[in-house]
Amino acid sequence: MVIPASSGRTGAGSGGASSWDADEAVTVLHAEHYHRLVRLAALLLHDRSAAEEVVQDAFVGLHRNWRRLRDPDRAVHYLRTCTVNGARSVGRRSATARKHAPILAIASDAPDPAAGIAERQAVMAALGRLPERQREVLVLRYYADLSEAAIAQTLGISRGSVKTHASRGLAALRPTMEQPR
Amino acid sequence: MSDTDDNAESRLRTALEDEARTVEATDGSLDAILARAHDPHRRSSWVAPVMAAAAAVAVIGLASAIVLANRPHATPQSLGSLPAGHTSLTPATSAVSSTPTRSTSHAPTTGAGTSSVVPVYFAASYTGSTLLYREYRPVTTQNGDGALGAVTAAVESMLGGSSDSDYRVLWGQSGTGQPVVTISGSTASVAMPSAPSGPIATALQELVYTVTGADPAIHTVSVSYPGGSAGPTARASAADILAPVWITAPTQNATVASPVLVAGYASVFEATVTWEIALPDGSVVAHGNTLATIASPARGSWSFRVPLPKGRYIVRAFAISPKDGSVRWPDTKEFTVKH
Repeated sequence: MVIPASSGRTGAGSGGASSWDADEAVTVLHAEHYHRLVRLAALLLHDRSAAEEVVQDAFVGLHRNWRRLRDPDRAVHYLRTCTVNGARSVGRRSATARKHAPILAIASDAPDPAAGIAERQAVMAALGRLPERQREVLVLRYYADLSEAAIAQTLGISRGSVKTHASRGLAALRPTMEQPR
Repeated sequence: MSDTDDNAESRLRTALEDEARTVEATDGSLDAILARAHDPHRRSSWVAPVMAAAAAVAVIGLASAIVLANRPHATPQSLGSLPAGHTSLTPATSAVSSTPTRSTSHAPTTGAGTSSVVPVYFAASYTGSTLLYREYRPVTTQNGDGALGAVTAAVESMLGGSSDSDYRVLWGQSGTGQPVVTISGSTASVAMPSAPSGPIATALQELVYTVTGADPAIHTVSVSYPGGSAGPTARASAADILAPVWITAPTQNATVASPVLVAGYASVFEATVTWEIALPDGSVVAHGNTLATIASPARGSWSFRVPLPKGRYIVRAFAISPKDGSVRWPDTKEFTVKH
């Protein structure tokens, strides 16, 4: 959920986002976005504790930069970009370790039919084997529900590249997902 | 997109959503973030993505980069997190009178008094038991006091009481003298100016949670007070000592905009938090249920937004007993909606 920008409902009067101090901004944005950003980072990283570190760093950065950002929409974009970049950085450092470890290292306790878990694990494993950019584009497109333009902005690449990475990534995953259930 | 693509897309979407649902954020993340944001000496425990952060900064045109380094201490251990109570609280002016025996490596802060926000714990009783609640308090510490100043200011702020009349301090407010804090390694020793005024074990935990929240490098707290003392004590488990339902936003007497963000923490059966919003005369204008991110015995966060016309309100959040349907552990906050 995106908080209305300073022109929106929360913008008028003393309670508006533009009048928030950094603590207030972090507090409100944390309540609304922290959990989902951790999940985003976990999908990119397959490591929950590292995912939280990445997202916390993003929020600390937001706190430092709030005076410049001032706007919840820009702040959310900032958080998402820091999260993706942070995850990429951690992912590169742990890439060697991950090659020798099971892809799925996330505690799985959600109720789920067994078949669903099997497919999910297969898809996640295949996703983990994709090149970094393809994985990022697919997670931002199909988990974060970002538009091509927003993905391009977040990753600092062209929209054409987003399309290319998305179609190649999806093509690479298709054999896994077309297995009979 | 072809039909095959649509199918692949929808299966990928489902797989990602299902996978994401297995990831739960831990409590205390807001604590950790605010503690680090207010104390440049608290750093991430991992070597951070300076390059990546710089790239992010470039994207949105910011001049300053996020600079992170190895952090001397572990990630803050404080439990739960809640919005800073800066909207309606009076900063505690702390005249720090501590004996600096701290041996660990908090570098002195430079500049004038340093503002920070610390978690401070208070108590409330319900059906015979007394459990803890938390507020964020802005405090100002003096030059170079570092963690010692933060701990002292947090304890002074605790003794000053809560703005929420439902909460009380479990230590006598004698009004004479100030707490004296010394830190050695991961143990803080606190000489309290007054004796516990409630259940001693809970009073001790109120102090332990407050001190360890102000400086996560501290793990145990010794206390002496007029008429007694207690040896090094660590935090009791959250499930035993923290009230099952906390409202963390809005803060008491806050003025907020509609739609109002109502948020908190809960450790409740089936993660179900029940809430109602009433006018000062008690008439309920909105009510509902919301799910915490995780059910008891774990402690999850919850939040929702509710549009409200301008006016004064009381929000009440509570658990419903699975045994008899009774209201359990209500927390309330009064607030004003101003457009």
